[in-house]
Amino acid sequence: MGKAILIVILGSIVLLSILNLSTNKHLNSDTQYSVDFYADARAKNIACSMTQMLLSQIADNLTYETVGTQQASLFGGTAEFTVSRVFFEGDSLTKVYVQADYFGKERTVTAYCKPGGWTPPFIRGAWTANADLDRTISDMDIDGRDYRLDGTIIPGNGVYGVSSSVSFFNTEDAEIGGTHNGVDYPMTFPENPDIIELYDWSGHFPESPDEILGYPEGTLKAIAQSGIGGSQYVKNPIKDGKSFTGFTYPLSGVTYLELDNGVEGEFLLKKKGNKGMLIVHGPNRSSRIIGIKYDATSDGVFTGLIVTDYSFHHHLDILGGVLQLSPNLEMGKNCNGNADHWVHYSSEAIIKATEIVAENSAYAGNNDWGGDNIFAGMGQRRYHVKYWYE
Amino acid sequence: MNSLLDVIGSSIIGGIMYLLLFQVNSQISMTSIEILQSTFSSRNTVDAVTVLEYDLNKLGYRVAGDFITAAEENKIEFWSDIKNEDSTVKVLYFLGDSTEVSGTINPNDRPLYRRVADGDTQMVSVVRDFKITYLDSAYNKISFASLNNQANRNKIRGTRVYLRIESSEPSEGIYPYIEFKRTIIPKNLGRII
Repeated sequence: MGKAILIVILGSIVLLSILNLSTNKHLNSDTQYSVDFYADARAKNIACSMTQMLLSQIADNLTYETVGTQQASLFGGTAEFTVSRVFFEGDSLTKVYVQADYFGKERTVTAYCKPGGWTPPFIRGAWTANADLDRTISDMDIDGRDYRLDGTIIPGNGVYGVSSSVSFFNTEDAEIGGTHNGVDYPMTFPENPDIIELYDWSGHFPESPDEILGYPEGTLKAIAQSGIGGSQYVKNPIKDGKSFTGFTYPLSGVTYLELDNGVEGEFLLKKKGNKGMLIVHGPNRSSRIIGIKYDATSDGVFTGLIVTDYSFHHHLDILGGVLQLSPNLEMGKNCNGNADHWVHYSSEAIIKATEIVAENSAYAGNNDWGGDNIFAGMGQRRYHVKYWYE
Repeated sequence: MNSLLDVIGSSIIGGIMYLLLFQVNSQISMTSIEILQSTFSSRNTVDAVTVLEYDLNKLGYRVAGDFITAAEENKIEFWSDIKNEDSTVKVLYFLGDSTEVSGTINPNDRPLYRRVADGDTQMVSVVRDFKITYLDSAYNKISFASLNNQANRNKIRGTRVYLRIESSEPSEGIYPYIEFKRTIIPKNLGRII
């Protein structure tokens, strides 16, 4: 009987051991599976992060290329990468190839990129200036909330309604809205004070259109003169009455009107679908546009970015943004004609407007204004991924 | 008399030990089954997700025209040069019917299918549920009703994938499950504003 019990006990122990071994085997297999999955995810993170870091580096130095394969340590693994110029899908692009390794797990990313449109950090409001804006804005409706091209609003993505280095007083009952700390404020009068910015530029406010984008002087003028994407350049044109002539409508690309000191007149929009960058500039920010208006053939809407030195009587609607360079804006006259006209900030419209200059200038643009603060974020926002394979 | 007591005593002790070992064995067997079921569900989920991510991350790669040609709650059809061979192909994911699944007693199990180009339809995984929501450039959900229109499908900039995978056999009356949710923003769609 004792022997029988011993046999039963020993048999049970053997059975128990087999079950234990089997369970341990499954647990080990699961652990290995988890480790492999983690390593794979980590390798992917290394590959993607390295690619983004390289994009940022390229945005700040467009001539950056690697000689052969480079290697870097990242997140406990390694990344081998190359940066080269290629012709891909009918376009001249920068190719970034990264092969990441984390404990034997490999992941690769191939990205094809080029400079693209962005919202320059100088654009802090739907209307940005370095001077007194009270009479210039008058009773125009200004909204810094971020409008898409289809007119809908991207929540929490906007800018101030008005941003200037001089205090703004809404003397003509303009309805003003905007975004502050991610909170959207609809257009109201009186406006919420949070969406009016008094900003100290500490001498960093741009003095030319090129400076707004962080480009070498003359870049925008050269693009305008090239005619790319409908761009046009006109200097001191003759006038028909008060209005400058010599433009082809609808405007697109970069429209650059250069005016010498003492030359002033009105800019008259014609036809529908005017868009891009409209620049009026002169030596030492001396150009003067005494009216931006539209005729009966136009819908009166400009989509994109308007940059002027001095301008007054903005009798049109603007989807995008306005930036005035002159420190001396209108202080004496009144503008009664811009009531019911509006400026709606639109990052989409500004990105579209800057896209053509980014793609044709070979400059990625700025991500700060020369000060210590960085507003536009990492470089990859200015250096766009066209194709991504991982 | 002493021998009789020995036999009775050892029988009782042996019986108790036997019962204890049986209990331990039963517990280990049960745990082992649960681990196996959990492992199966986990691996099934990971495998399905890996395949989905592999494809969705390539959505729109080298595509010049419409990149998503069907965007429904349980079905997505998109274009991509998925093998990087300079040839864009149509990739289709859709949820099948529960009657199309065999080898499971879970009545809610449904097959998740994948088809590349005009090739064979392959089952990626057996799932309880597979849902995709579509996001615009501000990561807002686009309504399914509006996605009947190609112009609206071209506004898609991201997808939010939901998977629920249940065990094929119940444990104590319920089917253990794993849920997976992930927002995938294919970088190839970023070039289109």
